[in-house]
Amino acid sequence: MEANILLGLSIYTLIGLAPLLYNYYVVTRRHEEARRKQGIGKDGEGKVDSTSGIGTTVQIKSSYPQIPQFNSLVEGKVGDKAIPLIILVVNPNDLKSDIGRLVVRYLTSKEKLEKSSTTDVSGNDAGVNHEVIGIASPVIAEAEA
Amino acid sequence: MPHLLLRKQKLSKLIGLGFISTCSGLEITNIGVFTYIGSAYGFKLFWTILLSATILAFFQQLAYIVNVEVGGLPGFKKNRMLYNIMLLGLYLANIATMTANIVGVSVIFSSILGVNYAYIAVLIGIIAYAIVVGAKGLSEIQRILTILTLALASYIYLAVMYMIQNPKVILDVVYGLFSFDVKLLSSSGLDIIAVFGAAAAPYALILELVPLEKASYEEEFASIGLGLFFTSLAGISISFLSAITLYSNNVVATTPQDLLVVLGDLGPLAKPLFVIGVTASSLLAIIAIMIVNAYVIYEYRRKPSWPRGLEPAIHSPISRDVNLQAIIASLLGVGVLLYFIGSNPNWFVESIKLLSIIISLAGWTPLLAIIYYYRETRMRDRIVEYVAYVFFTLVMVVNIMGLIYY
Repeated sequence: MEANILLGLSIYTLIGLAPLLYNYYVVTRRHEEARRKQGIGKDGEGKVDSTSGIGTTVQIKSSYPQIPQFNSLVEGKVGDKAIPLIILVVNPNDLKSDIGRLVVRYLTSKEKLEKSSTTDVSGNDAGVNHEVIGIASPVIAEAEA
Repeated sequence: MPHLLLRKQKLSKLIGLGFISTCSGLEITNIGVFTYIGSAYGFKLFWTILLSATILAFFQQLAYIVNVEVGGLPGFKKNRMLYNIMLLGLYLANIATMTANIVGVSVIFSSILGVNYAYIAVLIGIIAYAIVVGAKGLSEIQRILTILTLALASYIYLAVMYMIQNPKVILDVVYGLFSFDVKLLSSSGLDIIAVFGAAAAPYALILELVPLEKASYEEEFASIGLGLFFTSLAGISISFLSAITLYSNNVVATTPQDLLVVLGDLGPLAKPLFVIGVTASSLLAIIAIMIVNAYVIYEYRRKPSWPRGLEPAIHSPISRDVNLQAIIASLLGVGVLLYFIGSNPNWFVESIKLLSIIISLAGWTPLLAIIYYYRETRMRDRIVEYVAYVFFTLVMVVNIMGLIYY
Protein backbone atom coordinates (compact mmCIF):
# COMPACT_ATOMS: atom_id res chain seq x y z
CA MET A 1 0.00 0.00 0.00
CA GLU A 2 2.78 2.44 0.97
CA ALA A 3 4.65 1.63 -2.23
CA ASN A 4 1.53 2.48 -4.26
CA ILE A 5 1.17 5.84 -2.54
CA LEU A 6 4.85 6.59 -3.02
CA LEU A 7 4.57 5.71 -6.71
CA GLY A 8 1.40 7.77 -7.11
CA LEU A 9 2.87 10.80 -5.38
CA SER A 10 6.03 10.57 -7.48
CA ILE A 11 4.07 10.32 -10.73
CA TYR A 12 1.74 13.15 -9.81
CA THR A 13 4.62 15.36 -8.75
CA LEU A 14 6.72 14.59 -11.82
CA ILE A 15 4.03 14.63 -14.49
CA GLY A 16 1.52 16.96 -12.91
CA LEU A 17 2.91 19.58 -10.58
CA ALA A 18 6.54 19.77 -11.69
CA PRO A 19 5.84 21.06 -15.23
CA LEU A 20 3.42 23.69 -13.90
CA LEU A 21 5.77 25.00 -11.24
CA TYR A 22 8.83 24.76 -13.46
CA ASN A 23 7.06 26.71 -16.21
CA TYR A 24 6.11 29.37 -13.69
CA TYR A 25 9.72 29.54 -12.51
CA VAL A 26 11.04 29.83 -16.08
CA VAL A 27 8.58 32.57 -17.03
CA THR A 28 9.23 34.71 -13.94
CA ARG A 29 13.01 34.29 -14.33
CA ARG A 30 12.95 35.23 -18.03
CA HIS A 31 10.70 38.16 -17.27
CA GLU A 32 13.11 39.40 -14.64
CA GLU A 33 15.99 39.02 -17.12
CA ALA A 34 14.09 41.00 -19.74
CA ARG A 35 13.49 43.77 -17.23
CA ARG A 36 17.16 43.90 -16.32
CA LYS A 37 18.13 44.12 -19.98
CA GLN A 38 15.82 47.10 -20.38
CA GLY A 39 17.39 48.79 -17.37
CA ILE A 40 14.26 48.79 -15.34
CA GLY A 41 15.37 46.73 -12.40
CA LYS A 42 13.71 47.49 -9.11
CA ASP A 43 16.70 49.25 -7.59
CA GLY A 44 17.12 51.53 -10.56
CA GLU A 45 13.64 52.96 -10.58
CA GLY A 46 13.38 54.80 -7.35
CA LYS A 47 11.85 54.50 -3.98
CA VAL A 48 9.38 56.29 -1.78
CA ASP A 49 11.31 57.13 1.33
CA SER A 50 8.32 57.58 3.52
CA THR A 51 4.60 56.89 3.29
CA SER A 52 3.53 59.77 5.52
CA GLY A 53 2.20 61.89 2.62
CA ILE A 54 2.93 65.60 3.07
CA GLY A 55 6.50 66.51 2.39
CA THR A 56 7.50 63.05 1.28
CA THR A 57 10.36 63.09 -1.15
CA VAL A 58 10.04 60.83 -4.10
CA GLN A 59 13.18 59.86 -5.90
CA ILE A 60 12.64 58.43 -9.32
CA LYS A 61 15.11 57.11 -11.78
CA SER A 62 14.68 55.22 -14.98
CA SER A 63 17.33 54.28 -17.47
CA TYR A 64 15.05 53.09 -20.21
CA PRO A 65 17.03 53.84 -23.37
CA GLN A 66 14.19 55.14 -25.54
CA ILE A 67 13.24 57.93 -23.15
CA PRO A 68 16.48 59.79 -22.39
CA GLN A 69 14.86 62.25 -20.00
CA PHE A 70 14.34 59.45 -17.55
CA ASN A 71 18.01 58.63 -17.41
CA SER A 72 18.61 61.45 -15.02
CA LEU A 73 17.56 61.41 -11.45
CA VAL A 74 14.28 63.21 -10.99
CA GLU A 75 13.12 64.49 -7.69
CA GLY A 76 9.63 65.64 -6.87
CA LYS A 77 7.79 66.89 -3.84
CA VAL A 78 4.48 65.49 -2.75
CA GLY A 79 2.03 68.22 -1.92
CA ASP A 80 -0.86 68.11 0.50
CA LYS A 81 -3.47 67.83 -2.28
CA ALA A 82 -4.41 64.71 -4.17
CA ILE A 83 -2.40 65.67 -7.21
CA PRO A 84 -0.80 62.79 -9.08
CA LEU A 85 2.03 61.42 -7.07
CA ILE A 86 3.13 58.74 -9.45
CA ILE A 87 2.67 58.46 -13.14
CA LEU A 88 3.04 55.18 -14.85
CA VAL A 89 4.69 55.67 -18.19
CA VAL A 90 3.62 53.26 -20.83
CA ASN A 91 5.90 52.47 -23.69
CA PRO A 92 3.92 52.24 -26.96
CA ASN A 93 6.60 50.05 -28.51
CA ASP A 94 5.75 47.30 -26.07
CA LEU A 95 2.02 47.61 -26.56
CA LYS A 96 0.48 45.32 -29.11
CA SER A 97 -1.97 47.94 -30.23
CA ASP A 98 -2.32 50.81 -32.63
CA ILE A 99 -1.47 53.48 -30.06
CA GLY A 100 1.19 55.61 -31.60
CA ARG A 101 2.11 57.93 -28.78
CA LEU A 102 3.44 57.76 -25.33
CA VAL A 103 0.67 57.01 -22.89
CA VAL A 104 0.66 58.29 -19.37
CA ARG A 105 -1.77 57.41 -16.68
CA TYR A 106 -2.27 59.34 -13.50
CA LEU A 107 -2.91 57.29 -10.43
CA THR A 108 -5.98 58.33 -8.51
CA SER A 109 -5.57 59.35 -4.91
CA LYS A 110 -6.96 55.98 -3.82
CA GLU A 111 -4.46 54.12 -5.95
CA LYS A 112 -1.81 56.45 -4.69
CA LEU A 113 -2.56 55.48 -1.13
CA GLU A 114 -2.50 51.79 -1.99
CA LYS A 115 0.79 52.13 -3.81
CA SER A 116 2.22 54.22 -1.04
CA SER A 117 1.68 51.46 1.45
CA THR A 118 4.66 49.73 -0.03
CA THR A 119 8.20 50.99 0.26
CA ASP A 120 9.22 50.29 -3.32
CA VAL A 121 6.56 51.76 -5.52
CA SER A 122 8.05 51.27 -8.91
CA GLY A 123 9.01 47.70 -8.14
CA ASN A 124 5.32 46.88 -7.92
CA ASP A 125 4.49 48.31 -11.29
CA ALA A 126 7.35 48.72 -13.67
CA GLY A 127 8.38 45.54 -15.35
CA VAL A 128 5.69 43.44 -13.70
CA ASN A 129 3.26 44.67 -16.27
CA HIS A 130 5.27 44.46 -19.42
CA GLU A 131 4.04 47.75 -20.85
CA VAL A 132 4.94 49.82 -17.81
CA ILE A 133 8.50 50.94 -18.02
CA GLY A 134 8.88 53.33 -15.17
CA ILE A 135 7.55 56.19 -13.14
CA ALA A 136 8.20 59.87 -13.46
CA SER A 137 7.23 63.21 -12.04
CA PRO A 138 4.07 64.82 -13.52
CA VAL A 139 6.00 67.55 -15.31
CA ILE A 140 8.26 65.24 -17.26
CA ALA A 141 5.55 62.78 -18.10
CA GLU A 142 3.28 65.53 -19.38
CA ALA A 143 6.08 66.86 -21.51
CA GLU A 144 6.63 63.40 -22.92
CA ALA A 145 2.94 62.93 -23.67
CA MET B 1 5.76 29.12 -3.88
CA PRO B 2 2.09 28.89 -5.00
CA HIS B 3 0.70 29.92 -1.60
CA LEU B 4 2.96 32.97 -1.55
CA LEU B 5 1.74 33.77 -5.02
CA LEU B 6 -1.88 33.50 -3.93
CA ARG B 7 -1.30 35.79 -0.97
CA LYS B 8 0.01 38.49 -3.26
CA GLN B 9 -3.04 38.47 -5.53
CA LYS B 10 -6.47 39.90 -4.84
CA LEU B 11 -9.33 37.41 -5.07
CA SER B 12 -11.11 39.46 -7.74
CA LYS B 13 -8.03 39.21 -9.94
CA LEU B 14 -7.70 35.49 -9.31
CA ILE B 15 -11.26 34.78 -10.38
CA GLY B 16 -10.50 36.10 -13.84
CA LEU B 17 -10.50 34.67 -17.32
CA GLY B 18 -7.83 32.07 -16.42
CA PHE B 19 -10.02 30.74 -13.62
CA ILE B 20 -13.15 30.70 -15.77
CA SER B 21 -11.45 29.07 -18.74
CA THR B 22 -9.91 26.33 -16.56
CA CYS B 23 -13.28 25.60 -14.94
CA SER B 24 -15.18 25.73 -18.23
CA GLY B 25 -13.37 22.52 -19.20
CA LEU B 26 -15.53 20.65 -16.66
CA GLU B 27 -18.50 19.97 -18.92
CA ILE B 28 -20.91 17.11 -19.52
CA THR B 29 -18.39 14.67 -21.05
CA ASN B 30 -16.21 15.01 -17.95
CA ILE B 31 -19.18 14.69 -15.61
CA GLY B 32 -20.24 11.50 -17.43
CA VAL B 33 -16.75 9.95 -17.27
CA PHE B 34 -16.18 10.97 -13.64
CA THR B 35 -19.54 9.48 -12.67
CA TYR B 36 -18.64 6.27 -14.45
CA ILE B 37 -15.17 5.80 -12.93
CA GLY B 38 -16.49 6.58 -9.45
CA SER B 39 -19.20 3.93 -9.79
CA ALA B 40 -16.92 1.34 -11.42
CA TYR B 41 -13.72 1.79 -9.37
CA GLY B 42 -14.72 3.65 -6.22
CA PHE B 43 -11.94 6.02 -5.16
CA LYS B 44 -9.18 4.12 -6.97
CA LEU B 45 -8.95 6.26 -10.10
CA PHE B 46 -9.29 9.69 -8.49
CA TRP B 47 -5.67 10.42 -9.39
CA THR B 48 -6.56 10.41 -13.10
CA ILE B 49 -8.91 13.38 -12.53
CA LEU B 50 -6.14 15.38 -10.86
CA LEU B 51 -3.58 14.48 -13.48
CA SER B 52 -5.75 15.25 -16.51
CA ALA B 53 -6.79 18.63 -15.06
CA THR B 54 -3.15 19.48 -14.37
CA ILE B 55 -2.12 18.70 -17.94
CA LEU B 56 -4.85 21.02 -19.26
CA ALA B 57 -3.65 23.75 -16.88
CA PHE B 58 -0.10 23.32 -18.21
CA PHE B 59 -1.30 23.93 -21.77
CA GLN B 60 -3.24 26.96 -20.58
CA GLN B 61 -0.03 28.38 -19.17
CA LEU B 62 1.61 27.87 -22.57
CA ALA B 63 -1.37 29.46 -24.33
CA TYR B 64 -1.04 32.55 -22.13
CA ILE B 65 2.69 32.81 -22.79
CA VAL B 66 2.02 32.60 -26.53
CA ASN B 67 -0.70 35.23 -26.15
CA VAL B 68 1.62 37.73 -24.45
CA GLU B 69 4.59 37.06 -26.70
CA VAL B 70 3.01 36.48 -30.11
CA GLY B 71 0.03 38.81 -29.70
CA GLY B 72 -2.82 36.35 -29.27
CA LEU B 73 -4.84 34.86 -32.07
CA PRO B 74 -3.97 37.63 -34.60
CA GLY B 75 -0.32 36.55 -34.27
CA PHE B 76 -1.28 33.03 -35.35
CA LYS B 77 -2.01 34.29 -38.85
CA LYS B 78 1.70 34.18 -39.64
CA ASN B 79 1.31 30.55 -40.63
CA ARG B 80 -1.92 30.66 -42.58
CA MET B 81 -2.20 26.91 -43.18
CA LEU B 82 -1.78 26.03 -39.50
CA TYR B 83 -4.22 28.82 -38.63
CA ASN B 84 -6.88 27.46 -40.97
CA ILE B 85 -6.42 23.86 -39.76
CA MET B 86 -6.66 25.07 -36.18
CA LEU B 87 -9.86 27.01 -36.81
CA LEU B 88 -11.47 24.10 -38.62
CA GLY B 89 -10.62 21.63 -35.84
CA LEU B 90 -11.64 24.09 -33.17
CA TYR B 91 -15.00 24.86 -34.76
CA LEU B 92 -15.79 21.16 -35.19
CA ALA B 93 -14.80 20.37 -31.59
CA ASN B 94 -16.83 23.33 -30.34
CA ILE B 95 -20.00 22.27 -32.12
CA ALA B 96 -19.55 18.69 -30.87
CA THR B 97 -19.05 19.95 -27.29
CA MET B 98 -22.12 22.18 -27.52
CA THR B 99 -24.16 19.26 -28.85
CA ALA B 100 -22.97 16.98 -26.03
CA ASN B 101 -23.84 19.56 -23.38
CA ILE B 102 -27.24 20.35 -24.84
CA VAL B 103 -28.00 16.61 -24.96
CA GLY B 104 -26.74 16.11 -21.39
CA VAL B 105 -28.78 18.87 -19.76
CA SER B 106 -31.85 18.06 -21.83
CA VAL B 107 -31.85 14.41 -20.79
CA ILE B 108 -31.49 15.31 -17.11
CA PHE B 109 -34.27 17.90 -17.16
CA SER B 110 -36.39 15.61 -19.27
CA SER B 111 -36.19 12.89 -16.59
CA ILE B 112 -37.06 15.38 -13.84
CA LEU B 113 -39.87 17.26 -15.57
CA GLY B 114 -41.22 14.48 -17.76
CA VAL B 115 -40.99 16.71 -20.85
CA ASN B 116 -39.58 15.53 -24.17
CA TYR B 117 -35.88 16.34 -24.26
CA ALA B 118 -36.15 17.84 -27.76
CA TYR B 119 -38.13 20.79 -26.33
CA ILE B 120 -35.61 21.27 -23.54
CA ALA B 121 -32.72 21.13 -26.01
CA VAL B 122 -34.26 23.99 -28.01
CA LEU B 123 -34.91 25.94 -24.79
CA ILE B 124 -31.28 25.52 -23.64
CA GLY B 125 -30.10 26.76 -27.03
CA ILE B 126 -32.34 29.84 -26.82
CA ILE B 127 -31.22 30.63 -23.24
CA ALA B 128 -27.53 30.42 -24.11
CA TYR B 129 -28.02 32.53 -27.25
CA ALA B 130 -30.01 35.13 -25.32
CA ILE B 131 -27.31 35.42 -22.64
CA VAL B 132 -24.50 36.00 -25.13
CA VAL B 133 -26.35 38.24 -27.59
CA GLY B 134 -28.44 40.05 -24.97
CA ALA B 135 -25.54 40.91 -22.67
CA LYS B 136 -24.50 44.57 -22.62
CA GLY B 137 -20.84 43.75 -22.87
CA LEU B 138 -18.02 41.43 -22.08
CA SER B 139 -18.00 42.36 -18.39
CA GLU B 140 -21.63 41.28 -18.07
CA ILE B 141 -20.93 37.94 -19.78
CA GLN B 142 -17.88 37.48 -17.58
CA ARG B 143 -20.05 38.10 -14.49
CA ILE B 144 -22.53 35.46 -15.65
CA LEU B 145 -19.69 33.02 -16.35
CA THR B 146 -18.22 33.68 -12.89
CA ILE B 147 -21.57 32.93 -11.22
CA LEU B 148 -21.93 29.73 -13.27
CA THR B 149 -18.37 28.73 -12.37
CA LEU B 150 -18.95 29.28 -8.68
CA ALA B 151 -22.14 27.20 -8.94
CA LEU B 152 -19.85 24.22 -9.52
CA ALA B 153 -19.19 24.44 -5.79
CA SER B 154 -22.49 22.57 -5.36
CA TYR B 155 -20.67 19.30 -6.14
CA ILE B 156 -17.98 20.15 -3.60
CA TYR B 157 -20.60 21.09 -0.99
CA LEU B 158 -22.35 17.72 -1.33
CA ALA B 159 -19.07 15.79 -1.07
CA VAL B 160 -17.81 17.81 1.90
CA MET B 161 -21.11 17.43 3.79
CA TYR B 162 -20.88 13.67 3.40
CA MET B 163 -17.27 13.67 4.58
CA ILE B 164 -18.17 15.71 7.66
CA GLN B 165 -20.80 13.13 8.57
CA ASN B 166 -18.50 10.20 7.68
CA PRO B 167 -14.95 11.35 8.43
CA LYS B 168 -13.53 7.85 8.04
CA VAL B 169 -13.98 8.11 4.29
CA ILE B 170 -11.45 10.96 4.04
CA LEU B 171 -8.49 8.61 4.38
CA ASP B 172 -9.86 6.42 1.57
CA VAL B 173 -10.23 9.50 -0.64
CA VAL B 174 -6.65 10.60 0.06
CA TYR B 175 -5.49 7.08 -0.72
CA GLY B 176 -7.47 7.08 -3.98
CA LEU B 177 -5.99 10.44 -4.94
CA PHE B 178 -2.37 9.54 -4.45
CA SER B 179 -2.22 5.77 -4.81
CA PHE B 180 -1.10 4.34 -8.13
CA ASP B 181 -1.95 0.67 -8.56
CA VAL B 182 -0.02 -0.84 -11.47
CA LYS B 183 -2.32 -3.89 -11.63
CA LEU B 184 -5.36 -1.64 -11.97
CA LEU B 185 -3.60 0.27 -14.72
CA SER B 186 -3.67 -2.73 -17.06
CA SER B 187 -7.26 -3.72 -16.27
CA SER B 188 -8.69 -0.19 -16.53
CA GLY B 189 -6.52 1.23 -19.30
CA LEU B 190 -9.40 2.22 -21.57
CA ASP B 191 -11.28 3.97 -18.79
CA ILE B 192 -8.17 5.93 -17.86
CA ILE B 193 -7.87 6.91 -21.51
CA ALA B 194 -11.50 8.08 -21.39
CA VAL B 195 -10.68 10.43 -18.48
CA PHE B 196 -7.81 12.01 -20.40
CA GLY B 197 -9.89 12.14 -23.58
CA ALA B 198 -12.72 13.97 -21.81
CA ALA B 199 -10.26 16.55 -20.48
CA ALA B 200 -9.78 17.96 -23.99
CA ALA B 201 -11.26 21.47 -24.03
CA PRO B 202 -9.80 23.42 -26.96
CA TYR B 203 -12.08 26.40 -26.40
CA ALA B 204 -10.57 26.81 -22.90
CA LEU B 205 -7.17 27.26 -24.55
CA ILE B 206 -8.52 29.83 -27.02
CA LEU B 207 -9.93 31.86 -24.12
CA GLU B 208 -6.32 32.29 -23.03
CA LEU B 209 -5.51 33.76 -26.44
CA VAL B 210 -7.79 36.80 -26.41
CA PRO B 211 -5.87 40.11 -26.62
CA LEU B 212 -4.89 41.54 -23.27
CA GLU B 213 -5.28 45.02 -21.86
CA LYS B 214 -2.61 44.24 -19.30
CA ALA B 215 -0.30 41.27 -19.16
CA SER B 216 0.72 39.76 -15.87
CA TYR B 217 2.19 36.28 -15.75
CA GLU B 218 1.93 36.08 -11.99
CA GLU B 219 -1.75 37.01 -11.91
CA GLU B 220 -2.75 34.77 -14.78
CA PHE B 221 -0.77 31.75 -13.58
CA ALA B 222 -2.27 32.18 -10.12
CA SER B 223 -5.72 32.39 -11.71
CA ILE B 224 -5.09 29.21 -13.70
CA GLY B 225 -3.76 27.54 -10.53
CA LEU B 226 -6.88 28.46 -8.59
CA GLY B 227 -9.03 27.22 -11.47
CA LEU B 228 -7.10 23.94 -11.45
CA PHE B 229 -7.64 23.56 -7.71
CA PHE B 230 -11.35 24.36 -7.93
CA THR B 231 -12.09 22.25 -11.00
CA SER B 232 -10.13 19.28 -9.58
CA LEU B 233 -12.12 19.50 -6.35
CA ALA B 234 -15.39 19.68 -8.29
CA GLY B 235 -14.40 16.76 -10.55
CA ILE B 236 -13.30 14.60 -7.63
CA SER B 237 -16.51 15.48 -5.80
CA ILE B 238 -18.61 14.20 -8.72
CA SER B 239 -16.67 10.93 -8.76
CA PHE B 240 -16.86 10.75 -4.98
CA LEU B 241 -20.66 11.10 -4.99
CA SER B 242 -20.83 8.32 -7.54
CA ALA B 243 -18.50 6.10 -5.49
CA ILE B 244 -20.42 6.44 -2.23
CA THR B 245 -23.84 5.89 -3.76
CA LEU B 246 -23.28 3.52 -6.70
CA TYR B 247 -19.95 1.71 -6.22
CA SER B 248 -20.92 0.68 -2.69
CA ASN B 249 -24.07 -0.95 -4.16
CA ASN B 250 -22.22 -2.53 -7.08
CA VAL B 251 -24.06 -0.43 -9.63
CA VAL B 252 -22.04 0.89 -12.58
CA ALA B 253 -23.34 4.22 -13.87
CA THR B 254 -23.30 4.96 -17.56
CA THR B 255 -24.78 8.46 -17.38
CA PRO B 256 -25.00 11.34 -14.87
CA GLN B 257 -28.70 10.51 -14.78
CA ASP B 258 -27.90 7.18 -13.05
CA LEU B 259 -26.20 9.15 -10.30
CA LEU B 260 -29.04 11.62 -10.03
CA VAL B 261 -31.52 8.79 -9.37
CA VAL B 262 -29.69 7.60 -6.24
CA LEU B 263 -28.57 10.99 -4.91
CA GLY B 264 -31.82 11.34 -2.96
CA ASP B 265 -30.25 9.01 -0.36
CA LEU B 266 -27.87 11.81 0.61
CA GLY B 267 -30.66 14.19 1.66
CA PRO B 268 -33.34 16.42 0.13
CA LEU B 269 -30.85 18.99 -1.15
CA ALA B 270 -28.62 16.53 -2.98
CA LYS B 271 -30.66 16.17 -6.15
CA PRO B 272 -31.41 19.89 -6.72
CA LEU B 273 -27.78 20.82 -6.00
CA PHE B 274 -26.50 18.23 -8.45
CA VAL B 275 -28.91 19.48 -11.13
CA ILE B 276 -27.72 23.06 -10.46
CA GLY B 277 -24.13 21.86 -10.84
CA VAL B 278 -24.73 20.00 -14.11
CA THR B 279 -26.76 22.89 -15.57
CA ALA B 280 -24.09 25.42 -14.58
CA SER B 281 -21.29 23.24 -15.99
CA SER B 282 -23.05 22.80 -19.31
CA LEU B 283 -24.17 26.42 -19.68
CA LEU B 284 -20.67 27.57 -18.76
CA ALA B 285 -19.18 25.41 -21.50
CA ILE B 286 -21.82 26.43 -24.08
CA ILE B 287 -21.45 30.17 -23.40
CA ALA B 288 -17.64 29.95 -23.32
CA ILE B 289 -17.76 28.17 -26.69
CA MET B 290 -20.11 30.79 -28.15
CA ILE B 291 -17.74 33.57 -27.11
CA VAL B 292 -14.78 31.70 -28.55
CA ASN B 293 -16.63 30.98 -31.81
CA ALA B 294 -17.63 34.63 -32.16
CA TYR B 295 -14.07 35.76 -31.47
CA VAL B 296 -12.26 33.35 -33.81
CA ILE B 297 -14.61 33.98 -36.73
CA TYR B 298 -14.47 37.76 -36.15
CA GLU B 299 -10.69 37.60 -36.06
CA TYR B 300 -10.64 35.44 -39.18
CA ARG B 301 -12.69 37.98 -41.13
CA ARG B 302 -11.28 41.09 -39.46
CA LYS B 303 -10.07 43.87 -41.74
CA PRO B 304 -7.17 46.09 -40.62
CA SER B 305 -9.54 48.97 -39.83
CA TRP B 306 -11.66 46.86 -37.47
CA PRO B 307 -10.79 47.01 -33.76
CA ARG B 308 -9.16 43.98 -32.19
CA GLY B 309 -10.27 42.06 -29.13
CA LEU B 310 -13.07 40.09 -27.58
CA GLU B 311 -15.32 43.07 -26.80
CA PRO B 312 -15.72 44.32 -30.41
CA ALA B 313 -16.05 40.72 -31.57
CA ILE B 314 -19.00 40.11 -29.25
CA HIS B 315 -20.71 43.36 -30.28
CA SER B 316 -20.25 42.78 -34.00
CA PRO B 317 -23.06 41.44 -36.20
CA ILE B 318 -20.72 38.52 -36.95
CA SER B 319 -21.15 37.35 -33.36
CA ARG B 320 -24.95 37.15 -33.67
CA ASP B 321 -24.75 35.24 -36.95
CA VAL B 322 -22.02 32.87 -35.85
CA ASN B 323 -23.74 32.06 -32.56
CA LEU B 324 -27.09 31.50 -34.21
CA GLN B 325 -25.44 29.17 -36.72
CA ALA B 326 -23.63 27.34 -33.91
CA ILE B 327 -26.85 26.81 -31.93
CA ILE B 328 -28.67 25.59 -35.04
CA ALA B 329 -25.74 23.29 -35.93
CA SER B 330 -25.72 21.86 -32.40
CA LEU B 331 -29.48 21.28 -32.39
CA LEU B 332 -29.17 19.63 -35.80
CA GLY B 333 -26.41 17.51 -34.25
CA VAL B 334 -28.84 16.45 -31.52
CA GLY B 335 -31.36 15.59 -34.24
CA VAL B 336 -28.84 13.55 -36.25
CA LEU B 337 -27.83 11.59 -33.15
CA LEU B 338 -31.45 10.85 -32.31
CA TYR B 339 -32.18 9.78 -35.89
CA PHE B 340 -29.26 7.36 -36.16
CA ILE B 341 -28.94 5.95 -32.66
CA GLY B 342 -32.10 7.20 -30.96
CA SER B 343 -33.63 3.70 -30.98
CA ASN B 344 -30.65 2.30 -29.07
CA PRO B 345 -31.57 2.15 -25.36
CA ASN B 346 -28.06 3.40 -24.55
CA TRP B 347 -28.26 6.21 -27.10
CA PHE B 348 -27.18 8.85 -24.61
CA VAL B 349 -24.00 6.96 -23.67
CA GLU B 350 -23.24 6.20 -27.30
CA SER B 351 -23.81 9.85 -28.25
CA ILE B 352 -21.48 11.17 -25.57
CA LYS B 353 -18.85 8.58 -26.51
CA LEU B 354 -19.02 9.51 -30.20
CA LEU B 355 -18.95 13.24 -29.49
CA SER B 356 -16.03 12.83 -27.06
CA ILE B 357 -14.02 11.15 -29.81
CA ILE B 358 -14.86 13.94 -32.27
CA ILE B 359 -13.90 16.57 -29.66
CA SER B 360 -10.60 14.83 -28.88
CA LEU B 361 -9.75 14.29 -32.55
CA ALA B 362 -10.55 17.83 -33.64
CA GLY B 363 -9.45 19.53 -30.45
CA TRP B 364 -5.73 18.78 -30.75
CA THR B 365 -5.26 21.41 -33.47
CA PRO B 366 -5.12 24.46 -31.12
CA LEU B 367 -2.69 22.48 -28.98
CA LEU B 368 -0.39 21.99 -31.96
CA ALA B 369 -0.56 25.69 -32.87
CA ILE B 370 0.23 26.73 -29.29
CA ILE B 371 3.31 24.47 -29.10
CA TYR B 372 4.38 25.69 -32.55
CA TYR B 373 4.28 29.36 -31.52
CA TYR B 374 5.65 28.71 -28.03
CA ARG B 375 8.95 27.85 -29.70
CA GLU B 376 9.11 31.42 -31.04
CA THR B 377 8.68 33.13 -27.69
CA ARG B 378 11.35 34.60 -25.41
CA MET B 379 10.01 32.31 -22.67
CA ARG B 380 10.95 29.20 -24.65
CA ASP B 381 12.55 26.54 -22.49
CA ARG B 382 13.74 23.17 -23.77
CA ILE B 383 12.39 21.16 -20.83
CA VAL B 384 8.96 22.82 -21.02
CA GLU B 385 8.96 22.21 -24.76
CA TYR B 386 9.76 18.50 -24.37
CA VAL B 387 7.09 18.12 -21.70
CA ALA B 388 4.62 19.75 -24.09
CA TYR B 389 5.62 17.27 -26.83
CA VAL B 390 5.18 14.34 -24.42
CA PHE B 391 1.73 15.53 -23.38
CA PHE B 392 0.79 16.19 -26.98
CA THR B 393 1.85 12.64 -27.90
CA LEU B 394 -0.22 11.36 -24.99
CA VAL B 395 -3.26 13.20 -26.37
CA MET B 396 -2.62 11.66 -29.79
CA VAL B 397 -2.33 8.14 -28.33
CA VAL B 398 -5.57 8.70 -26.43
CA ASN B 399 -7.28 9.79 -29.66
CA ILE B 400 -6.05 6.80 -31.65
CA MET B 401 -6.86 4.29 -28.91
CA GLY B 402 -10.30 5.84 -28.48
CA LEU B 403 -10.93 5.58 -32.22
CA ILE B 404 -9.74 1.97 -32.38
CA TYR B 405 -11.83 0.79 -29.45
CA TYR B 406 -14.97 2.78 -30.24
